[in-house]
Amino acid sequence: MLSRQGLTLAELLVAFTLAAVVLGAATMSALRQQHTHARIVSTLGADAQIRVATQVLAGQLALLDPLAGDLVQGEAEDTVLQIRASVAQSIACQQETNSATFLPDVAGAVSLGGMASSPRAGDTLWWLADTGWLAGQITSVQVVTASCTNPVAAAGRTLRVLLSGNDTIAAGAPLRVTRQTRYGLYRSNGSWQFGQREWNDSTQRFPVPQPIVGPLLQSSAGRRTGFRYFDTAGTELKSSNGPINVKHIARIRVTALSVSAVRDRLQDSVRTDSLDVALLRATGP
Amino acid sequence: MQPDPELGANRRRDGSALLIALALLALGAALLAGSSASARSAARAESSREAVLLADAESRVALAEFMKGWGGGEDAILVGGGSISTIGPRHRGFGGAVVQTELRLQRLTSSRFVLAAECQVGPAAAVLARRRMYLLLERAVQVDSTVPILAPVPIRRWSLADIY
Repeated sequence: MLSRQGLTLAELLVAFTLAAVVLGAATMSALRQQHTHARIVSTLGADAQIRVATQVLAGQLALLDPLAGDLVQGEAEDTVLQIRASVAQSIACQQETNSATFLPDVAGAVSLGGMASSPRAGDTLWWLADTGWLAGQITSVQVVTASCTNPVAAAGRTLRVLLSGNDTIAAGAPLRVTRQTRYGLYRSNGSWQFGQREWNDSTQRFPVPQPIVGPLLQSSAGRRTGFRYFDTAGTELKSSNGPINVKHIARIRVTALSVSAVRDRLQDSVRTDSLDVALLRATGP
Repeated sequence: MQPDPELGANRRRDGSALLIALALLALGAALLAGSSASARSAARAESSREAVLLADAESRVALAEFMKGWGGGEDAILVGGGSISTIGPRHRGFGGAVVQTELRLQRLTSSRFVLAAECQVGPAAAVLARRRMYLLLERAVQVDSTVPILAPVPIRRWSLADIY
């Protein structure tokens, strides 16, 4: 009998009403929080995506010298830019003629070189001699076991590149490998992607683009994904007036646009990132 | 014996109330679990982003501080010799992530050095981000012995940041 006297219908109704109000408020709050979180994650994702496009190029463009032939005449356009891109850097293990052996990494020690992709035939090897940077074309690449003593002691498996010329490279000379690379916007499966095409010496052509980041927005509200070029006076060089003289380029602006996946107040949220890189001027190689 | 019809009706109402209460509790628990998972996911994403930024910034700071503190010790390194120094571990960022940077200086010639920095964010067992940067340094030839020896300066066209 006692258990049946615990709650009346009115008490239960009041309790359920209050519980419903509290849970309703909690549900609304949680839904708002989840929506906000989804929007933030989506926005951060879009930002991170476009930043990849600008940051990848920033490191490469900062090393370019138009007067040294790092930019290719006729290949600096609104959506495409061909450059001599760095793919590896190291130190010469020993003195060699017609070849160069990269310094092997030593386990547990900070590496003195880095590699974006393995050097290959057709790439260009640059080495810093007493007279400045010199270059030779790589004809083949071997994996070897090297033992270096002077000026850096290191031993292990590494790469040796063979050159077409008859040059002698001193032990300890700084090395860098470059490859003709085209960065640009291209359409794939109905969306715009930002990608790169690296010169393939065996086929003597640029292969299909490899995506770096996407999908991107081609243009929005007067802004567009791509490249803009400026001379030393800050005047924009436009390809609509004919091919841009790449030797006049002093600064390159990289812009990337993306749309956040979650709409904000029923509107697409367009994210933009833009970066200006000043190029080197006449410092060689 | 016939069951009391009034008592049976009461029992049915008690059962419904309990069911509804349990359903509401389950809904509340699901909401809490969803919010918690969402918050954890956001915290992890933010932590990763922060680690990447910290690694980049700490590497640059370490290189800059090393160059600023360039002195007789570095100049005394013989050709072929080198030095290794470690900065940290120290706590950085909002989450107090453990950051450790290792610097390696190697002398290549009498006037040329290579300086490499490797920054690691997070404990060694679970590294959140790692960044490498390199500088190729060269000292200009000084003919005036009365002028203090200047620190070498970076050679352009050799990567500051790790190529990858």
